[in-house]
Amino acid sequence: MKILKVGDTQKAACNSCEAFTNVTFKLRDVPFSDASGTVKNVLVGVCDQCDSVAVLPHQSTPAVKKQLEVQRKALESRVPAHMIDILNLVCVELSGGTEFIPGLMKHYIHLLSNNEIPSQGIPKLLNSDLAKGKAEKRLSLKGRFLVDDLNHLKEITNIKSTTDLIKGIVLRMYDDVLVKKNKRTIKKLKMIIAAIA
Amino acid sequence: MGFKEVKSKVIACLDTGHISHEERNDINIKNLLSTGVVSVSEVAHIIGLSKGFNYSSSPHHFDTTIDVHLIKTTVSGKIWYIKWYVVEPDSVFISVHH
Repeated sequence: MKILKVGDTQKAACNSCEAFTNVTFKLRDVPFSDASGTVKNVLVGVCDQCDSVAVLPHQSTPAVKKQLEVQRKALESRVPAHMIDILNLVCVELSGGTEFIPGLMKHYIHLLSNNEIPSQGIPKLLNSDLAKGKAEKRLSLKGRFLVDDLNHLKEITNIKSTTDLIKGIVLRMYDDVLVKKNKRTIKKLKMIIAAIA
Repeated sequence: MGFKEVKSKVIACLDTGHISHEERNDINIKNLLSTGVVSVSEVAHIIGLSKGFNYSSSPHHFDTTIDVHLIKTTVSGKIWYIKWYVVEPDSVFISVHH
């Protein structure tokens, strides 16, 4: 197996320069083409002329695979039992079965993270009585954008714990769908259920 | 260079680890070899099964002295599309997907 070192050079096609140029191997943070995440500090061939990443040596592919696996890994949270009841009721309200909970949560988190549904008020909901209770049930979510979306939401809401954030999101969904019956949010969530049903 | 030579060369590159993957300032998640979805030996196996009629080549549009090689072949019901060029001593994969 050929192993390259930082500082090694080779010739490769640079799509930014639209030419074969010299590339130098450097450690870079490189995003995925679908913007689902970034492989940090990975050895790549960088064009000497335009500084674009032109080539990935095969020795870097395990780091790429590992990052993709991290993104796909299920996110497990333990929440009070009534949180799952809330999600079940939300799903029923939206005309879907309870099997839609993971998909619905994932999309709701994405909408909150992208500010398509305002996330303000989530920290306040964590002080409510419904936020309390022994964590007795497991909520498992999986998705390539989930970790990034949750990290972004943590920054926006200033909630550090993932479990607290999940609880806050469930309570926000409860507030939106079952208490205030927010028509705009319900319409968006019904569209999601229609898409994944 | 004929198909047999091209095939031998790329399989030798895969066997010896003289391979890299073309990127466009990000990591192409559709390249199943660069993302580790398929292994080097699997790609070598697929290329090894291909025949001359599965193969085509054309000059690289950045440098016409460099050929871009393409194998389109069906293995276990999947249509594989494998595209690469050679800059000695390496083969640089542009696409590996099905």
